[in-house]
Amino acid sequence: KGESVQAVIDGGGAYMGTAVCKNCHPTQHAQLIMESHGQASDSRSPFAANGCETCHGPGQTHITDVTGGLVAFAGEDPSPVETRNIMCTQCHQGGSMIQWHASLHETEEMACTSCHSMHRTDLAMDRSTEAEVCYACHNDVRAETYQRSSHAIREGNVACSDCHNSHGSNGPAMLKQLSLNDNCYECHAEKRGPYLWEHYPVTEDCSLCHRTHGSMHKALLKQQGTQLCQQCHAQIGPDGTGHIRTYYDAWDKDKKRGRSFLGRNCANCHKVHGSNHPSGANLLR
Amino acid sequence: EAESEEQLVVVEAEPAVNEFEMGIGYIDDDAYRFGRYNGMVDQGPYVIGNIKGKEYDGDGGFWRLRGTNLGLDSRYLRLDAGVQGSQQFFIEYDQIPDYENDTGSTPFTNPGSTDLALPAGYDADNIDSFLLPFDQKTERERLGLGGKFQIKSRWQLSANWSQETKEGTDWIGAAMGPSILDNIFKWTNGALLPEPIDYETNKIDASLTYHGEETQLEFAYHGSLFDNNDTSLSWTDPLDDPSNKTDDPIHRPGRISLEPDNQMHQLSAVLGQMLSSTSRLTALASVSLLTQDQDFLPHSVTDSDLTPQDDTSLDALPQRSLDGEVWLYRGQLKLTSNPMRNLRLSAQYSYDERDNQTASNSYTYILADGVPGEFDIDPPINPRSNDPLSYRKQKVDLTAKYRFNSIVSLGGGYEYNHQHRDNDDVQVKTTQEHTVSAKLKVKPLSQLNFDIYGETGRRNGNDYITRNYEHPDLRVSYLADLDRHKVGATINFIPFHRLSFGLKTEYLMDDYTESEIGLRESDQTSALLNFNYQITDKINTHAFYNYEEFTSNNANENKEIEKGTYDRWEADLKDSSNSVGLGFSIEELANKWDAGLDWVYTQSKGQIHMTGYQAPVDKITGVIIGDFEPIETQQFSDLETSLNSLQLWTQYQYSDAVAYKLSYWYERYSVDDWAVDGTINNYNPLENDTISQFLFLGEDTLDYDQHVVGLAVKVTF
Repeated sequence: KGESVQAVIDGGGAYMGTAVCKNCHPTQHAQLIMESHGQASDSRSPFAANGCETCHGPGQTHITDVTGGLVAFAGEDPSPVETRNIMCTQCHQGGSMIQWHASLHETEEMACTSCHSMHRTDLAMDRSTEAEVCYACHNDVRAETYQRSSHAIREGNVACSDCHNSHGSNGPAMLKQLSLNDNCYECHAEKRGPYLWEHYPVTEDCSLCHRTHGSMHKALLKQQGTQLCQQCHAQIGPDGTGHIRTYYDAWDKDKKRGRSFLGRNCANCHKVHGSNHPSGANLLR
Repeated sequence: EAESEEQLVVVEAEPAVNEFEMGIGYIDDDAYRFGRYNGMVDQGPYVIGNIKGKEYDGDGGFWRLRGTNLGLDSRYLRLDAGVQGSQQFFIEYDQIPDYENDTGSTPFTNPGSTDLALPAGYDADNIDSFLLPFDQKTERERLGLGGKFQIKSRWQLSANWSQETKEGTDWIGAAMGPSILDNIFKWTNGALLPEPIDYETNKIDASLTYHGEETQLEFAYHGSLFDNNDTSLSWTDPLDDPSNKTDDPIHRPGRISLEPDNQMHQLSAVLGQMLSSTSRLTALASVSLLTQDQDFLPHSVTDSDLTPQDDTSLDALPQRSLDGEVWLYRGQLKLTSNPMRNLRLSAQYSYDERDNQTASNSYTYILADGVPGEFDIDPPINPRSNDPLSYRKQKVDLTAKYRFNSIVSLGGGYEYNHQHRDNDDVQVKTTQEHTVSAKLKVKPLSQLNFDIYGETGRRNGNDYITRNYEHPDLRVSYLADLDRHKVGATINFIPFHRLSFGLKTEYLMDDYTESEIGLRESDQTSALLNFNYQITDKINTHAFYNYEEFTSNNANENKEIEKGTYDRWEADLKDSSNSVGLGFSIEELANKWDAGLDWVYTQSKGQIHMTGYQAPVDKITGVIIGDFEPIETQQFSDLETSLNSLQLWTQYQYSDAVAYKLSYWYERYSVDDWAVDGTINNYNPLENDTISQFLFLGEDTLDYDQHVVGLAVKVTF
């Protein structure tokens, strides 16, 4: 903080006051006083300091030269991203912004106003519209939500911000919780355990088997069930043969083994997330 | 001055910010899948209801209200109120249905019960006449309350509580009724069963934050308490015991444990500190406690003569409940700095420890409530001991980015991951991974920029320990040695500020270098094209195309010594999907009309191609005595899905306060999944024969062709 904000202040001349700004920008003012930024009674609000000029910088230069002086957050010729963001982060450094520095979006030089709007409806702040903001860059995620299995994202029941903090986080992939599994347990607490019989990869990382935004397979699985399990399981029984390792366990002409790949495949018999049954060592109970 | 006064009057007349939309819609057909998450499952009318509103009184007092889908089972409602800068409160209600499938059936008369009952006179040989439909459907309802209090100018206290219930009926798979010959297990029956879902999760969050200009702090507590009102599911095997096919067939009882109650409590402290105008430090310390102490079920619902104990008695257990206790310790330290105007540096260290203090004990393994499993092999693997997983993860992440000039910048990074697992039952105790990455950003024109990036990494583990009865050449994929390479590029072209094109493409290759059995390699390819054109301030258009492809190769082997053959197969899997979308919106056409269109088409295909190889084996020594020769290829039926979704709407502004909105939604969805379609209970469509020892749900994947129209009035005030 300091130098760059100070540079903006130095470059703008004197503060003119919100009433002056309002003369030419009545709509913007009217909208702002119906938002949190426009509440002068809140000492943290820009309107408790220099009003519009808290964010845009002093307006004197702008009055004499309408093209200059102010920090412009939008329009055809916005101020540099760094300048815009400095005006926001002079206040927004704590809370959900505490990990903004060196976060993915900050490193990619995203402007706060790439997602947020101050003078019109801020779609990013409404859980029913925020996905549209994210899709502006992440249409691949949007496409995934149209797959066979997905979280209820396109229905608006699950918002991107239910899992992610777009300002950076202590977790991976800007997840809100400290680990991916912790994030999943927020809605799937029944899978948290600890179980008597753990399935270790499940305990370590849900994403070893599941996608998060969408999949052509059931239950957001990364592959067809049996093949997914066979990435890690190739048993040899005491008689030399073994469970789900023969060619016909994958494509079975012996009907008895069809249950390994039809229906819910391995989950036809196994509780793949873990078991709390004393006889659940093979995750059958 | 007079003009200013006039404008001031306009300003003081607050813009309309409150909006209420109400109307009626019509769904043209029953469609469980279409309404899976939105609740539009039944043909007929439904109520359209949305509301949003807010008000500030000028002294910080405010309220905000938001409600969506109020006439559907996917309704959401939230009210915030308070005095900004002093105290704020909210109350929130959220409902999410999950209509999974309504074509399944089961012979049990009471799906949803914890004790499944077969009908009187039940005959497994005539199972079709006893099947009853049951719907796989669950529903979440969440109520949340909370508040924020500004206790000093820079200190804020917040507390939230929520309770979420999830109720309904899902499915669960279970082995049952083991076939017994001479008191030794030979085979089991199995079935997909209706599973009762009756969950309740209470969450509590409390935090104290300090927000200074240079220093920010957060102390937080997060608690999550999960209760399952159903502890187990019992049944009588709906299939006959295949070893006892008599006039009076045996149907054995069984019981499975359901998800246990558990709790999580987490304390955390986060610090953000500006060290100078160009350097910042953030730090995190967190400790979590996970507990689970659900009462155990007995080893079995029937006693086995092969064990010295009464397997149905809780006294035979080493303890009555798990008394599970896991401590999670996390720490992070991140330093970011811009030592020069063009140079950005960051360094991060993360520590993540899972200390599982759950006791390890021996439990008799009774297979499927019937017989002790694997007593008859050498070495015996019964009883079994649980081996709770503990691990320590450490990560170092270094990044640098240098901007040479306004056109070119170059970034790079190095990441080191180290994980050590303390328990003995994992194949690899220690894995370490090194990854280096680089990214070149070029902006030759103000309207054009592109990035090229690449990443290469290697994961190595210490000695691989093959577990009992695992193929010696298997390398469990998530622990296996791995070389990973990724390259990608993005291009953004903005000819002028209203028009933009974007391209993003990426290729990822994973090579499991030591894996002969299991997952051997996998690749991902993706490409995304974006187009946005704001024709005027009031007309927006957009379009996108997305392609994804995942390929992988699995292999496995089976030695049939008695047959004198050694079989090997390889599976080449390819999943691909194409999505295309376009849309536009028009505002204030002729000052009266708004309109919009949004269309998306997605098509995906999953393919599995199998190749079988065989080599001769000496029937006495078991040694391979020849070369592997390909013997057979098989192609699974393709897994295919497609979705065509079109939404159109128009809104007529009848007056300043009243508008009418007409909407139309067409959606067509189809899925062909050979693993599900036509699997009619105990009928196998692949061989046109029955799977005599397994009972499926007999469901089909759900296609639909759905039209929905809606007419609503929108009032703003």
